[in-house]
Amino acid sequence: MKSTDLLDNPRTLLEEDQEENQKEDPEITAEKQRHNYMRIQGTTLLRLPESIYDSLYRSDSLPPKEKQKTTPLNDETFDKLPMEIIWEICEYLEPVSILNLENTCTNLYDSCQDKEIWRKVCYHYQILLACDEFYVFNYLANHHIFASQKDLNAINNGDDKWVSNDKVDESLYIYEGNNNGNNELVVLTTPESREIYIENLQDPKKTLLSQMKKLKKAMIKKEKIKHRIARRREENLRFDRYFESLWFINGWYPSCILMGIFVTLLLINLVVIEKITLTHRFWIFAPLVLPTLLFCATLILQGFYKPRFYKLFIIIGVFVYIGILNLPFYFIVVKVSDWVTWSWLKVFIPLLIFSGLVIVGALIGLIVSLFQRPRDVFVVILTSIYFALFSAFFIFLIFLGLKLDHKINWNWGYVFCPFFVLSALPSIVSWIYGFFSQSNYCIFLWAGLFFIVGTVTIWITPLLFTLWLETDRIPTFTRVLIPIYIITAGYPLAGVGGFILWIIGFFNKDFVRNFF
Amino acid sequence: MTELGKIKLVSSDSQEFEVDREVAAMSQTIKNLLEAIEDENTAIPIENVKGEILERVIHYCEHHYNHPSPKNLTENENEYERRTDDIEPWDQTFCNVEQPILFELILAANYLDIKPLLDVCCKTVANLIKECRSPEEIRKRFKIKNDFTKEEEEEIRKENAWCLDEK
Repeated sequence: MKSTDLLDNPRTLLEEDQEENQKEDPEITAEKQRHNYMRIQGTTLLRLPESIYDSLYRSDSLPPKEKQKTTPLNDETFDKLPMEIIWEICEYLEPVSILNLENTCTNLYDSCQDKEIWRKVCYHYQILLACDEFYVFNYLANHHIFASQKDLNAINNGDDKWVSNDKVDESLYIYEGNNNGNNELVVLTTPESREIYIENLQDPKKTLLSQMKKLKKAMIKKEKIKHRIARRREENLRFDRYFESLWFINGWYPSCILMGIFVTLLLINLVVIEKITLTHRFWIFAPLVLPTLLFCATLILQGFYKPRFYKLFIIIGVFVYIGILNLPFYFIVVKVSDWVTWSWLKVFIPLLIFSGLVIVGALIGLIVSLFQRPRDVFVVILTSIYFALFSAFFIFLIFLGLKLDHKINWNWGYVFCPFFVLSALPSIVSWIYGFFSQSNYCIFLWAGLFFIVGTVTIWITPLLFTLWLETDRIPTFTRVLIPIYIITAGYPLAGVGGFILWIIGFFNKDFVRNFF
Repeated sequence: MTELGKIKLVSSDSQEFEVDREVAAMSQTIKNLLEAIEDENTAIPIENVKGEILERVIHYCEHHYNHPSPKNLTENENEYERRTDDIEPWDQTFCNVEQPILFELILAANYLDIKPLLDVCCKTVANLIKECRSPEEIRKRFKIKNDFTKEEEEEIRKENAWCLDEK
């Protein structure tokens, strides 16, 4: 027991007292309660002990009293405390604690039923009953409560006494008042009006508790929402880390496609040059299906780690991919396999539509990114490259279709000319741009990479094709395809490397973090 | 005879304490009495307070007379907020006594009308109650006998189910 130094042996004193203690006169208790009640009300009323009255009014000296009137001291004192003391204590308690207290025994229960005390609790717990904006704000900030704008609008429409709209942002909370049992909104904007409101409450306890019930429900709800948001955020973070890493996106997806192209070209090479016989020409293009499958598989895999909304999005994405991106290739496969007798231009229509969409999208992206502040140089370069590349592809497809259909009789060089004109251009431009925006070294590197890849694949290859088809300078088809082989094989290799990194990172996060 | 500026207080069990007038005047009750009594040497009987408790109360008053707390000004600033976590360290130690003594102190403070002491004691009790999560815990802590009937208890439990089952 920690105590002051003054007291050496309190326990024995206490016991001695108890022995000679007597029960307090009930009348005196009632009297005392009345007096002290008034003190609590604000007017201090002096209550003098009898003996003092004697000394004051009778002026004769006090005879020592034989009977000591003291409050009995035992272990059950708490519930025997006078009512006003319990009220005093209750004022420091939260409503829930008062409920706990009053449910311990009948005496305390009766003590805690007093309207005045609940009214006082209402004052101290004012937010539940009535509030001005400041209190709403403070309370909400302290309790992390938030409500939707919809709720707030409902309140604003329902009662014009609610805090004005412009002072409420969407993180602010609703407040529902309860006026004498009717669930109408009561919002009092000044402390004075709040006081009047509390004064006039018929049953402050009931009102307060019903408010608390509502608040508790709301808080549980908000808590759940908060939890859900946190979980979603965590999921997204996990997703971002493993699936949208630079390695994965830039490596894996194009790798899937380029791998297919690589194998296809290899087969064409073998068939055309080495005269290897396949049962059907369809098999040449069969590898193009491979990247599709891989691509879809990864998309579905992603879906498992995405929140529900994104899962739907990805499933749709898979179908869109199969439907739009691969449709052109199926057309080509079907045509090459001699299963249909459509003209080549007809076969290219899905491809034309697709590249047309990309052109429009890239153009919009380019314009937006150009006027956006702060400007993202990387996006500008990317969109301009997409725009140029697919424009070239679009025109080339038309030329190619016409040429294959024997509608035009141009040199192959003319057919490939869109690539010559458009492809290298954005690469060079972006490189120059990157060179002058030296602050961003990364852009410079990217531009350089685009330049090399773009030039090699889309500039040199058409040139080699032209030379092979129109002149005798290049004797074999294999040599024509060499640059493409380099690019298409190199990229998937990088992609596979990225994929392996990703797999390792999935199990060992630190590895990838240290790697970069 | 008492010294100059000192008065004599007599507890219910006839123990006598000599206190500075100013210190004793912290009790509103005694202050009013002193104004009424002319004879300075009259021993003032504090009828409802035992010697042990009175000793503590005097100790409290002396300490606070010598170390007036600067917080009195801010007391009414936030009348809507009733804090229980702002008890001064000295007061905390002072109130860290066995429950019967604490309740006696409350009664004495109430009787002698020493507002700061009453507040501090009430805050201490409120803190004790706040630490309890259920009526059962409060009963255990304060050794209160449960005199509800089974039906009453069931009813109360039902009524307050919403606030008692925390998550």
